[in-house]
Amino acid sequence: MEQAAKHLLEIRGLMKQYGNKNVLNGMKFYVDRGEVLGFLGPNGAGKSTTIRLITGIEAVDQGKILFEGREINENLKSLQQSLGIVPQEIALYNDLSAEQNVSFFCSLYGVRGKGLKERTKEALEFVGLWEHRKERPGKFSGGMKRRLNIACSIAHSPEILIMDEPTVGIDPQSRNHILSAIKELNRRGTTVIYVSHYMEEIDALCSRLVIADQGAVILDCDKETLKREYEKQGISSLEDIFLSITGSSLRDEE
Amino acid sequence: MQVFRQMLWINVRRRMTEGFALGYNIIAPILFILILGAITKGMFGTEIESYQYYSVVMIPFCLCIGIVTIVYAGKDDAYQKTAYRIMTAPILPRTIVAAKIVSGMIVLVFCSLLVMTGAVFLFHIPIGKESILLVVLIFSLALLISAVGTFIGLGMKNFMIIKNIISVPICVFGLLGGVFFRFGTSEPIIQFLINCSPLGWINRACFLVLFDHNTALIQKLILGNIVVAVIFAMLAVRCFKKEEYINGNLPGYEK
Amino acid sequence: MGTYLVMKNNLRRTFIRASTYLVILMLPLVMILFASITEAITTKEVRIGVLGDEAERKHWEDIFSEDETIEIALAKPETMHTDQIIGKYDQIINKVTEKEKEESIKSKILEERTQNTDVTKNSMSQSQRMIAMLVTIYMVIATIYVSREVRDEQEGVKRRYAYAGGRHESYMLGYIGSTFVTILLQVEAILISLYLFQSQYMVSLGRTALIGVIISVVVSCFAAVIVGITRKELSANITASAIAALSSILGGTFVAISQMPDILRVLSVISPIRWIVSLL
Repeated sequence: MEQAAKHLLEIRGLMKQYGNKNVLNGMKFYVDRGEVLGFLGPNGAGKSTTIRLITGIEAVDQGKILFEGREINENLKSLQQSLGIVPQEIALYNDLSAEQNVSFFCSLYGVRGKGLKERTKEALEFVGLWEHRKERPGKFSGGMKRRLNIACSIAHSPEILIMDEPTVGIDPQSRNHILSAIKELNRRGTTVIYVSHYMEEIDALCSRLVIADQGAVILDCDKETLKREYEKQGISSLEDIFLSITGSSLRDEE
Repeated sequence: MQVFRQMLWINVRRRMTEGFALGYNIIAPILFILILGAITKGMFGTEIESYQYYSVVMIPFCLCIGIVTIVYAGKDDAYQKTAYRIMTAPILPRTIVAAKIVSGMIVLVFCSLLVMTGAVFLFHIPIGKESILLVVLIFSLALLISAVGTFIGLGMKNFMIIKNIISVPICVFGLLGGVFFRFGTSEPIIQFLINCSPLGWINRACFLVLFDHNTALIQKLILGNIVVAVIFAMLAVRCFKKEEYINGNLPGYEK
Repeated sequence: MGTYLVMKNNLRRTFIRASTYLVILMLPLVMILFASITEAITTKEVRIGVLGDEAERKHWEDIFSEDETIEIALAKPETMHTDQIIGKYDQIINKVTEKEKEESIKSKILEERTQNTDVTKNSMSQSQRMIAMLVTIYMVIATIYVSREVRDEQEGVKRRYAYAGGRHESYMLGYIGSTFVTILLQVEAILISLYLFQSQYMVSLGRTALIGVIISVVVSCFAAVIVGITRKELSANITASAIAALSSILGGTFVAISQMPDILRVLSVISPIRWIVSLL
């Protein structure tokens, strides 16, 4: 029990089946307060399914998810209150302004009144969109939409931020801005679970890596330790390490 | 309560700005009243003018057709991809469902009362103290349509197909209920079909209140609407499925 | 060549859908139901409500005993205005004691009956109503088919066609072509089934075939115009539904064109339904 309470979020032996297909086969890892965890895996590894189970959108077939030592079934609302999700797809109302989007999604977490206005402003300033707060997302570039997507997820100051490939399809400048913002968020105390296929981002951001494949974790270790181990074998880049662990054959499933 | 108010606000805003409500519940009834009123001028005898007749029958009919707006609203968050955000926030499904139903009702009532007020003044419809029951009927019908539409919308897969299928029985009931053209018959089969039309009963109740000052039928209809609305609202909460609410990869979706 | 390839591909996509065949099965039933119901609108009969007792009703029934088109029933005083408004009764008679008033009422009723007969004469026949219904429905269905082109554009499929050298116009023409062929096959199947199984459908086979071609051309062009203007699937669908409903009303489906006010009679010229049913 003491061991369990030490971790902010713990996933224990998750099993999930869709029809006849086992999507998760005993997924198991933990996240500690204040760290940036890289959650990697080829397509079809079960990353998106794991995220859906953590957020409570789908029910677990077997296994447990513990938040602050307690099962999430007992306190799902508490977990949801502490969680921020940056979805892979842009999830914004195109007919509301940037400010209205952030304000609305922040208000869903019970933030109101003056606090709501302040948090909305902070979130937009944080992602560098305060000057564009009255404009609608339809007029934004891809990078701006991604930044607004993040702003909507952080406005309520979540304890844990799950970011599902937040830099897909944007230019290096916007990506750089986003990565700096994530580092700053973490510096301020937000725990981040970062899902990405871009190894240079993982290398820049994460302190620990969880690599999943075929519904289970195949590697869970400190990033630097991993790099040192594989350097001895002559593999220095994180991408090569990843391919070495998961294999280079094509994964056709999503 | 705060979250419900926020969800209500955003849903009311979206319904008022997306054009469905404007089209189905303001423009359509006005057009139909004017055109059908003109076509049938002088054909209603001395009891009622054609414009008065169509003002009374078109408003409930267009309110029913407004179910398309509500069904679309059920899938709106999925289309906008914002359903995922809402689902991961600490909001209960019943809050989402209640916001959809109440916002739909507000918009439908607003549009219907707007047209009704215009019709009363333009065409001198004889309103009396019992006419307040007509307003209550509109509220109850809007609640019913909103509850049924939300129940369908939250569970549907293809909006386009549902939209075209839903319109058919409503148009048939409208035809049988004398919405497009009034007709009477002594044919027992057609008479039976006419009696099956809920819109026929609603129209009859409205005319009874306005011209015979008879409120018995309208009171029963109001009560019936509320009971059925509550049942469908409970069903909508009970049958709420997170996967269906979130799933936005549907044909018919407009980006 | 591009137009032909798009058309061929669309026909393949359309005919693997079950809904394409469902329409052929369902529509004849809808048309027959509609024709039967609207027949009642232009009924020749006159329904009279009598306020009073059974003896009073019998008295009036005896007066009109030789005329089968006049029906006498007991009316309720608490709903008499509503019953007249909704058409349950064409007229309501109170207890009449004077002979002169009785004669005056009788002549009014006979005048009503004559008016009804005139209305019926000018109204559409059953066959025309069925065709009018078919055109109305297919104005909407054709738009649904053609508006899939907009979806192709949104999904990026049309962009691939452009990368291969295809033009927007040829893609659209391909869609119109496939819509025309699909609708032609559906409409001819429906009309032939009416010809074979529906006794009230009184149009010859040759004319039926010609009407099918004309309907297909008209609705396909209509759909192309609507989709070309709106460029949104949902808006096209709703606009087509609204215009189809108006065309149906202005085309004389419910009230004969000759009985419409002058301005609407002029407006009815733009309704394709008016011209198509006049071919019958």
